[in-house]
This record gives sequence, C-alpha cells and structure tokens, in this order.
Amino acid sequence: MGVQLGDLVSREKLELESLSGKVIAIDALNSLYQFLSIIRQRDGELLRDSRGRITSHLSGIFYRTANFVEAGIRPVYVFDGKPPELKRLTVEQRQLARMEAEGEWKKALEEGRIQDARKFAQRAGRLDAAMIKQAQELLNRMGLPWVQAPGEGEAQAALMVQRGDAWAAASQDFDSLLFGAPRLVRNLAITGRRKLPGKDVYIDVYPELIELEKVLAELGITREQLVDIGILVGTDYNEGIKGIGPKKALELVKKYGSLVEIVKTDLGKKFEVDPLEVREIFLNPDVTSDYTLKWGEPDPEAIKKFLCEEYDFSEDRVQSGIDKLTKGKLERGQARLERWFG
Amino acid sequence: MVSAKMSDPKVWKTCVGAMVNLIEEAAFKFSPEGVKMKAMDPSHVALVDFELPAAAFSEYSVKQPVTLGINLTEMDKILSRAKSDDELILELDEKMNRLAIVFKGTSTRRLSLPLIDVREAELQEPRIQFTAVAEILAGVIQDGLKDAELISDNVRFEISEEGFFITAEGDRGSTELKLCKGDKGLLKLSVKERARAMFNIKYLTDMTKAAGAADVIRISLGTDLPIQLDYPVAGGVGRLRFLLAPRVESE
Repeated sequence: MGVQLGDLVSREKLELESLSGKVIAIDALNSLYQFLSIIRQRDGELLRDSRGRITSHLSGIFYRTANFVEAGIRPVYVFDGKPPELKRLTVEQRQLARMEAEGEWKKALEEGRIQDARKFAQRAGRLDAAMIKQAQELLNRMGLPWVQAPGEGEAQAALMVQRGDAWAAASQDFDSLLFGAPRLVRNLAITGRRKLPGKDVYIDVYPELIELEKVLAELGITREQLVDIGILVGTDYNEGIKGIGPKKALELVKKYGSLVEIVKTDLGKKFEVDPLEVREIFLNPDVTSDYTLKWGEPDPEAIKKFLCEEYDFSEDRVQSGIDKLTKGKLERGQARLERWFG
Repeated sequence: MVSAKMSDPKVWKTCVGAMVNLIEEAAFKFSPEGVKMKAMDPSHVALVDFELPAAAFSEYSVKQPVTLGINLTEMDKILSRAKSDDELILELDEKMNRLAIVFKGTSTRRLSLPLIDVREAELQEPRIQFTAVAEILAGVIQDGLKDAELISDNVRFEISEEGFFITAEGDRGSTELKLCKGDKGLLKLSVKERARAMFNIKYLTDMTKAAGAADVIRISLGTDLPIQLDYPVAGGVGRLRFLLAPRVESE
C-alpha cells in the first residue's frame, strides 16, 4: 500500500529516545492496520474480548502509545476523512482482498495449516468505523490529542509538520513525502523485535528518519518531480505504468522535467486514470489548519473502565501502561544527561 | 572474598536510601581500593555516583575485584532493620550467590539477599562547566522543595553573589526561598557567574530526602546545565554525587 519509493530514499536509523520532547503526527489508520496485522494470537487469530469483539487495535493504541509517551514523545494521531474519488477503487480492492484472505484463513485453520493461517489472517485485518471510534475514545481517556483530517490523514500530518506543529509525520507509507512532509518517521509503531512474515525468523526493527530535503538533494529533483516519480510507479490513486520502477521513473522525470511533459509522450496513454489529477491530489490536498493539539492528563479510572471492564484487558498490564503514560508526562521538557556526555 | 565492616551502619544506609528512589538495581564494584557504583536512572535524567574507599571501613578485605548486582529496594528494606548502635558487615556468600548483611549488636543478625545480574552500561564522564557552588544545609533544600511542591512540578535553583534561591511559579501561585550571605543555612558560596536552571521537584526530592536536616549538601550549578549535588560521606573520604538534567523549554 502507498507509493513504492523504498529503493530511492535514504534513511537514518533512530533511537526512540531521540524523539523525546518532539511532537509526532501519526497516520492513525496506517497504525491501526499495522496493529491488526501484527498483534495476534499464535494461530493468527486477532485478539478478542469475551464477547468476541476484536481488540488488537485497542491493544496497539494503548501499549504502543504508552511506550512512545514513556520515551518522552508527544504523539498526535491523525485520522483519515473522506478519501479522494480516485482512491475509492483501491479502497474497494483492498476490502475485496481482505475478504478473500479471510476465506483462505478459515480454510487453513480448519485444515490445521497454522503457518498459512497466520499469513492469511494478517491479510484479513479489517478496520471498521466502530473500531476507529473505539480507538478515538481510548485516546481521549489517555489524554492524547487526535486530529480528524478532512481528506487523507497523511496529507494532514504533512501540513502539521510544515506548520511546525509537529516535528515529523509517522507512517509506513512514503506518501507523506509526496504530500510534502519535511520529515517522515517509519517503523515507529512496530519498533522492537518482529517476526518476518511467513518465516520463523526474527529481526530487530528500529525507527528510521527520512528527510524530504535530503532525499530531494540526493536525487537532484524537486518535490513536484518526486510526486511525478510516485505517479509513474503507482500510488493509492493510480496503477502506475507497468514495467516502470522507481529508478526508471527517476530517469524519465529527469529527462522530461515534469509529468506534464511525459503525459504528452506515448507513455501518457498508458495511465488508466488522469495522472495530472493524481498530481493535484498530492500538490493541493484537502487539508485544514483548523485543529488544536492539547495534551491532557491520562484518566486511569476511565482507561481501566474502558479496557478492563468493557474489553477484558488484564488490569495489571493496563496499570503498567498507565504508569508509562504518567511517567512520560513528567518528562516533557526534561533534558536527558546524554546531552552533556563526551 | 568480600568482607567489609562499618562501625556505624548509617553511612551505608543513607547512601542506599538516597539511591533507591532513582535506581532499582545497582552493580556495586568491590575492589581492594574500595566500593564504587555509578548508574543512571532508567529515563537517563539522573545519575548516581557513589564511592566508598577502603579507609571508610573499620575492616575491609577484598582480594579480587568483583561486581555484585543488588536489588536496592530489597537492600534498603534490610538496612531499615539496623539499630543505630549496630556494627554493619557486608559479606559475600559465594556458594549461595548471596550478599549477607550482618548486624552485630546485642545479638548477631544475618540477613542475606540474592545477587542478581545487572546490566552495566559504560558511562561516559559528563562535561559540565559549573559557574557557581554553594554549600547548604540539607534541611533548607528540603524545605524549599516542599514549599515549591505545593504549587508546581518544577523548581528553579539560582546561585548569585547575593546568595542561594529556590523559586517556583505556577497557576496556583509562587514560592521563594532566600538564603543570603551570613544566613545560618548557607555555609559557603563561590560564584564565578550567576547560575540558574529549572529542575523537576520529584527528582530533587528523591535525591535529598535521605539526607539528615543538618547534613551539608554541596550544590554546583550552571545556567541551564545539570545540577550536581555532593553529600558528605564518611567524613569526606567517600563520595555520593547526584547529577540531574535540567528542564528545558520544549522544542
């Protein structure tokens, strides 16, 4: 999902602690999907409460966010609003893919193929409106702000970084860069030890920082040209041209200068939607500067009522999460001693 | 082998009592020269630097350097059982992998605690140019902190030619503690340049609450730099030093 620019973009490994004191605008839906895909029982089944309701997303929002806050990070989750017309197609396709995976997963589970079951279960993660509401409700009780974007969450997060209200946007997708986010942090939500999908291999995943200015300077292009590369390769709004990868796209953009020129060549006929319309989505996205960011106090009683009473979370573990939230609050604006070492 | 005896349990007890609020587990390095322990709290805001030379003990016998991992909370609980006229002996029980804490007084009581693995991080030496130093009665600092706590989570320390100040400012009001030259609580003042910085009250309280009101604490300060607190340990031969990073305007 998202634009595939991985090969072109240079990243810098980060320690979670180095983000201490900084506001990070997190792509909420992207994180929730990550949680649904990662936070699973051994057989690949999602976490559920005693009434059978999915709780993987709540577990992720609560414990991962508590870790951020403990590290001194000030997180703000940005939720998608209405996707642009063009994205409907991808949204529907994703839903279809998920439904298919769900069927495969149940079949694999019945036949006792646990490895396969886990693989399909990950693809079957579906997020519905109620789950999003629950996540927002939980954030309120944690005393953390969230922003409702009018359109794409990543575009909104990018604007918040541009305005200086956030230090970086956080998402797995590179789209934030196309939307003009000066800084993008990847792997924030999944930092730690991770099992490689489908294999019995574990790797350590670190957050990584990507700086737009640096990327553009390294590639010798403008942000508009980066958007053009994205569109040639394929984004959430268009398929891209078959056979054109990031490197080829970079060549083309440098040769012709702009997508506007490329469209005039034979390549222009190969797009299934109007590429200039897609370009418009990235360069003039539907965003708002009407938002407030306010970090309040976590409400331990309200959190326990919600997670433990309503969704059967373990009280001990929830308490340890609450402790992290309170501890992190203390550390805002608190320098660390490393600053004076060596 | 490790065997270290103190005629007064207070020294060890006070030091552990001051550390325990900041770090849960500590790696004490016992060597023929003495005992050392240095560690940061989990959030890397505070550092404890402890040293007690062999001379501070009435009897001290350590042949080979050895590092003993101790759960400070447990050790603190055991030390609270000491009577003031007890002798204190620390003894390594290699067979059982335990540290025995022996109180010798009207009876001999032996309380042991298991040794644990403590991850030791190599700590670099911080470079800080302090510009002002003051020696103050611990009771005065404790009072200033308790006042400030009423209205804020943070407190400002300032040392200038005029004296030493603890102030706090918040929605709920303000507090000020003033210690001028000549005041009883201020034993020494040395100022190269006026220094002021803001700190978290909870950390400072944790660092100072083990001190007796009449103990003298040496404060080193620089503007927006970490604060250094030095306790007198065993008549000045030992060292118990705390460093605390300042609060900074959020970036």
